[in-house]
Amino acid sequence: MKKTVIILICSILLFSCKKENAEHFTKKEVVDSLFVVAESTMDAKLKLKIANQVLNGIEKNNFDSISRSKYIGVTRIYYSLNNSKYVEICKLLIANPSEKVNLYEISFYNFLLGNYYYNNANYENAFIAISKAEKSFRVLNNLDYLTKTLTTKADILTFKNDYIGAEIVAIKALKIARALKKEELIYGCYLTLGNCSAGLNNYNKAVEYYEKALISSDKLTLNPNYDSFRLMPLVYISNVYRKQKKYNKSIQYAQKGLKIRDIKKIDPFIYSYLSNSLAYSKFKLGDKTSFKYFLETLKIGDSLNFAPIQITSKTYLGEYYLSQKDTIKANFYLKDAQAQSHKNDIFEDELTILQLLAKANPNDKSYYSNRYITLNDSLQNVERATRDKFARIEFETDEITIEKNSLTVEKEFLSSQRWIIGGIAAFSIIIIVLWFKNKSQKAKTRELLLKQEQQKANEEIYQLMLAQQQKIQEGKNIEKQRISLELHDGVMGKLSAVRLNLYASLYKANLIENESFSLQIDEIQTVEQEIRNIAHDLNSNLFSNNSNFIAIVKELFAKIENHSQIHFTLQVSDAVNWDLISNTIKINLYRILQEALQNIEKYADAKKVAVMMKKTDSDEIAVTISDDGNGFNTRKKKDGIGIKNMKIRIEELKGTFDIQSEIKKGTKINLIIPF
Amino acid sequence: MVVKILMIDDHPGMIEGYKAMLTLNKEKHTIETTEAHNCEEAYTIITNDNNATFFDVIFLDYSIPAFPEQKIYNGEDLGVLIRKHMPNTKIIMLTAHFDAIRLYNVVKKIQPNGLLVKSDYKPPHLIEAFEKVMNGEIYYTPLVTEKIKQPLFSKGLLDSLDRDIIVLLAEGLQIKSIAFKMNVSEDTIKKRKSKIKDLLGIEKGSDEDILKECRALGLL
Repeated sequence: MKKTVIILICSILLFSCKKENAEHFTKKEVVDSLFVVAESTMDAKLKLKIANQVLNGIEKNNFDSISRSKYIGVTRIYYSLNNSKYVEICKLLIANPSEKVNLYEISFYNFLLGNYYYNNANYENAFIAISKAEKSFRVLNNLDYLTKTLTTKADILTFKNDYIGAEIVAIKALKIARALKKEELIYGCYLTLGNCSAGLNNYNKAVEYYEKALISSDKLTLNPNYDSFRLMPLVYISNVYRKQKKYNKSIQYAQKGLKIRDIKKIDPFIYSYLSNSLAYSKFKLGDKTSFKYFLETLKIGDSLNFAPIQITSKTYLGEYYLSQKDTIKANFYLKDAQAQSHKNDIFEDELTILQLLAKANPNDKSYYSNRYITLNDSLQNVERATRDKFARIEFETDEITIEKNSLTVEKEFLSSQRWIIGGIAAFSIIIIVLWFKNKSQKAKTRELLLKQEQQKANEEIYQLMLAQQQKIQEGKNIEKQRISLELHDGVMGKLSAVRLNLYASLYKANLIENESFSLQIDEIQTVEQEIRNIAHDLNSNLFSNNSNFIAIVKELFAKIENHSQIHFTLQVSDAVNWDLISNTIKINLYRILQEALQNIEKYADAKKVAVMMKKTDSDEIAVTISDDGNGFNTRKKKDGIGIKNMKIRIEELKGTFDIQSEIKKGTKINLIIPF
Repeated sequence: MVVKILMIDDHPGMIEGYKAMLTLNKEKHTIETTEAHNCEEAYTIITNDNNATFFDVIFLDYSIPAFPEQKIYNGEDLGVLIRKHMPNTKIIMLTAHFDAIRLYNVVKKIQPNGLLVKSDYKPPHLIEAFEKVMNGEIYYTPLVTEKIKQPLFSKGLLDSLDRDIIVLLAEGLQIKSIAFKMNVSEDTIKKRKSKIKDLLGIEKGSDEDILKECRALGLL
């Protein structure tokens, strides 16, 4: 209902302003609605008019996307009218490709060109164009047109007698068409398959396909070409039965078709086929009036300038006159038909005609027979050659399509490649970043572990030093104890004994009153007492070396004193409870002292070194190391390894380090270590 | 009158000295001496029941070689043994030690008839001591009298166990060895140690601090 309204409006529009307002047809909306009208109307004149008007409206040498879409619409109309103008437009558009490679456009033009060539029996060009279209539609995955293209290709192959090839193509097309559920396409496939089967002389199969096409055509009632669709299978079936010499059946189907009203007007081609088929069958069954129909179809063929119909009609006329023994008329039609079929490369017909000519001219029978044989042979060669050629064309178009596609494909490939490269790059960067992070993390952990280990090692060293110091102390103690005991029990006892004996001897000799003797005896007693005190002190001093740390430090001093002129003094405040200070602090302090003393020994040329350790009010140890050596300029001199080491150790203990020095005035190092 | 004396000293010269000195006594006692040079010899003589009343006086040195098999380590231990086996025999103890604890222990445990610190007496004092003891008196050299007056002892605050512990500590022994030597548990030693610290007024401190304090007080 809607459609009819649109058609009506457009028709009015079209006819009312055809002259005054040419630019009216340049407007896109108007053009689109006109195309809708052209699609739905059956009126060929109206279609042609619309196509011409739109074509005139398109600016010359303008191939932008709007113009192109208009051209495509126009070509569709010309194509449906089988008007050769669309070939020009197609060629024009192919020659002026749009900036964007529009594969669809190109495929569509190739499809149209292929069909045009096919309809005009130019099979070779048709095959080239159709092959191109097929490949590109495949790339575009445009199944609709791919099916149409395949159907046309199968038809071309059929006409070139490559029935098996055609069947393969047609079955492919049928599969797609069924999947698409496009009845029109399914219909076309059945027809083509029927033709293939007929070509292979498998007539039953052919009829089966045609019948299927016939059923399929019933579903196409809405199609403007419905009548043609309905009639074509009838033509073919009729032909098949005629070839099988089942003339009654052939007549039956031909009549079925001819019943349709206005068939002559709707499709003169089909009418001619059906009419010829019916008349010939009747003729074969003995009807003498058939030649009238042949003459009629010949006239229609002439008016359409369509060789196949002309040739068929002429052949049938020839055969008819031959049966009437009118060899002159027969020769006239047959020779004409033979010339035309030869010219148009319709060799199958020519063969039939040559056979008839041989019959019509018994005198020249050998001549026609020879021509028949030569033609038949060459036909087979040509067939083979054609097949080769088609194969080559297909291969070449493959290459061309690949090349054409390669442009778009390459573009896509490039862009996808860009994405891939970008992706890989981003991924790699992330990996690298993560790797570095991980590595630095590991390094940090390792550093921490090393520090811990070092601290542990330091403590172990201190423990070892402590243990050694203890052993030394123990040894000393044992020795002290031994000496003490020896003095106490041995020496002292012996002295006592001596004193007593001496006293007794002196007493007996009456010398005891002599003061010089008694004084000596008293003196011995004094010595005894001294020894007793020494022994006691020795014994009670066993544990007096309370702080092993200080002992270790003293030992360090002693070592240096052994091989240098330096004299050490050590002052340690009693307030420092060394037991409460961690071994880490002690070992580090010891190392700092070691480092400092080493520096003094090496560079300072000092005589006296004083080390003081005391406790500050805020739980810190304050250590001062001063010497009377050369000193140095603290500003000029860069820190040596020794000072650096000391600083690092102090930092580890979270303490402070301060060095004061002047040339010729010695050096003083102040340390404060919290504990 | 003949006086039978057992002289226990590891120095023969010392014994000779004693003998020489004793011949000078004013009572004109005749001296008959028997000698023992270590704890073992002394142990054999003392524990021989035939000797129970044989000796009148025993001269006992404090520091002599020990006899660990019978847990006799010094003159103090021997003194206890003598008091057990020879209750009527008089003891004159001679020692080079002058620390209060040891002297006090000796006085407490043995109650010797004479106690002389070597190097603290002049030779005539030995004779004086001998004569006094023979007359049933008691003779202590002045240092002994002074040392045993220590208030910690006199008030009974440091008992014999405490004193032994201090002595053994002074010898450098650890709790474990002390417990073994005194035949008591380690816990007892620990408790005693903290009691000793309290008495000496030491809040925190090691064994060394105890000894230090004891030395300051003259206990050691």
